[in-house]
Amino acid sequence: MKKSLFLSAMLCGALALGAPQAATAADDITIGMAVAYSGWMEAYDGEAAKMAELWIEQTNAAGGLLGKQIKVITADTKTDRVEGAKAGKQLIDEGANLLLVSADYDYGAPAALQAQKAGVISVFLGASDPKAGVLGVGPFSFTANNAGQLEGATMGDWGYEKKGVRKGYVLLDETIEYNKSVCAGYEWIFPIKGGEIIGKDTFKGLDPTISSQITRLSDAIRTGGVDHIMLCSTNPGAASSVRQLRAAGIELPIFAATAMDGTYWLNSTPGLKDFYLPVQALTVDDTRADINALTAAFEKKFGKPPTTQYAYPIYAFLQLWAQAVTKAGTTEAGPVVAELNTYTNAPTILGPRTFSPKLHVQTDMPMFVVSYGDDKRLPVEEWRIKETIPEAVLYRLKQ
Amino acid sequence: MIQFIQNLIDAVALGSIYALVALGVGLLFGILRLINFAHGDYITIGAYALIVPSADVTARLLIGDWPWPVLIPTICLIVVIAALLTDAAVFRPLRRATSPTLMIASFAVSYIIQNGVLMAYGSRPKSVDLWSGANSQVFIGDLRVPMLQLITLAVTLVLMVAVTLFLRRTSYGIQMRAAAEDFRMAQYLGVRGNVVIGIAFALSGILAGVVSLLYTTQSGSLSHVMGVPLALFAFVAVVVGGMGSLVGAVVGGFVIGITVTMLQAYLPPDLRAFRDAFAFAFVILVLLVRPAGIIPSRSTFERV
Repeated sequence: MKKSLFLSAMLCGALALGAPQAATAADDITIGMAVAYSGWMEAYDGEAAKMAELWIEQTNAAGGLLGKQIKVITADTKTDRVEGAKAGKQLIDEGANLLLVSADYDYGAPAALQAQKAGVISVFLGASDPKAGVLGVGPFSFTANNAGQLEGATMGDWGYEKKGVRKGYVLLDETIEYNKSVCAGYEWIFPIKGGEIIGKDTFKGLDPTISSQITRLSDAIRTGGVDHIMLCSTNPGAASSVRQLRAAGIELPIFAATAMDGTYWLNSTPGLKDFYLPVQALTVDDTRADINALTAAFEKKFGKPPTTQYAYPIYAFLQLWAQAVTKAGTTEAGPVVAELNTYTNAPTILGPRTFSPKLHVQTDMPMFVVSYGDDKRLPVEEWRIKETIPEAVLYRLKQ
Repeated sequence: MIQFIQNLIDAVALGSIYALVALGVGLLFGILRLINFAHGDYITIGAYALIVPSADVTARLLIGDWPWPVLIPTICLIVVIAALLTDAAVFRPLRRATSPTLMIASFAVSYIIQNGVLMAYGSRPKSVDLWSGANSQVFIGDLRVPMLQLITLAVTLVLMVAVTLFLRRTSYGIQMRAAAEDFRMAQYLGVRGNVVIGIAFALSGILAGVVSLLYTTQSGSLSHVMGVPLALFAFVAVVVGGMGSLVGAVVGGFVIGITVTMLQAYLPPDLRAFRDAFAFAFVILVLLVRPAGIIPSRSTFERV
């Protein structure tokens, strides 16, 4: 008994001594990726994680950061929140100086919280919820992406100014919070511009049919003169509703959220026209040479180009992080975050990005409006809203 | 008035989809006392069988491109095989288990199928264009009647009649009904239990295959959880209709479909998000008035 007690005491001591050593022994800078390499989130995390690898490879080739090479450590969250917390903890224990977490607020937060607790910077690969950052996790947490509200607002603003639409109809897929955020942005800006929202309806992405929503919409078109539809949804529900809308003979312009980016779902609505959404980058034929070069490098390293724009935002964030680390001369969270918080319209490969002590998500930046037609996706133009999205809209306080 | 009739058409169309799924769930419950939550995943299998098996993000039709007289039987056959496999691998060793055990086993089957689909086809939802010709509209005055809804309704009626005739007129059907009435007694009288149960699984597989085609034509979208809400609503339909009664399952399916659509159409906008909660509250109301369901089975009895 005594012997085993002694042994466990020794073990505890060894562990206590070992842990800080593991964290400080490395001469390299370590980036941890606690993301979904399996389960359904893999579709959304996978390409962004690969993009981060590409950035690390390029940075190391160019001499590294602070004169050190960057090392990658990974752990699979398996699209599970509990596993996410474990993966985050494991990578922090292994000495991660920056923790990349899942693209969604709900799935990434458990790992991000582990980083926050340990005083390490975390970044969501693509979360669009303003809570993914200071409010939901803590002052050391960021998201590489824009707020969902900005997408809806960009479409409402651009639609009013450039498409000349005046009477909108909102179709909201209640399945996830992101959809509600996108619609909140649209519903905020469109009336400010002078437009009118004639009607609003909800559905659930996996509903077998949206025929009763189509019946109500058809009535609103007939009696209210609706001239465009704001569709806040994600696949599979989004593609399904576009198919059903077009099948019902409703040919009005459809504005959608960034989540529908990509051409992989176009099979469901052959010959789709008059369909628009905002993106940060195009996977094919972007108007910026740098982005196309990045896409080519991605394709060279991984065999195929990214499927959607969600691969790109992490690259821009890592650029800013590296800039802040270089300026601060350390990877310590405190000084680096203080530096990042001063960035207003800081240039990145994707365009200007802004952080403040209160907001670690993009709420004011230009987006590219793309149009779909003849099974292709084409850039229309860059568009930036002029108004600032109020907090009540960002945190959807009224709903 | 036109609006109401339009809503009624939408409601009946959704009801017929639920009725088909409920019929598949009800068949197995009648005989095996198995509430098969994996039934929704049979539908998923049917839908994914249409495309080239690959994890590519862009789906390409394989069987889905075949002419329909070949396509329909092939998809049904694939789903039937999948259903029989689940029976052989999971439910047969559990023949003597209680219904709760069977139900939990069906959850496990469902989980395995969903993750199998994830592994084989990747996690991003897929899109296909199946029979878009059927997605046209027929206008009767101001009424808009989607062709697909008419097809769905017709298919439901035909399959209901076919299943009824099978159960009434054929020897296997009579054996199935006997087994549904009193499984042990039927076995004593020479009914081969596993054969009868196998036929029930095959029938529910055919029904699931047909639903997968109707659903995919409507939505054009595939996901690994696409069948789950269908199975859930079908289960509720079976309970409302009367557990163990096939006519009850079909009636329950229509009741649920009509309720959900009418709630979606007439609830005030703020409450529409809680549509399903209202639908399930209605189910509770129905069960308070008729605890054994709308059309109770003769072989079920109140246990409390």
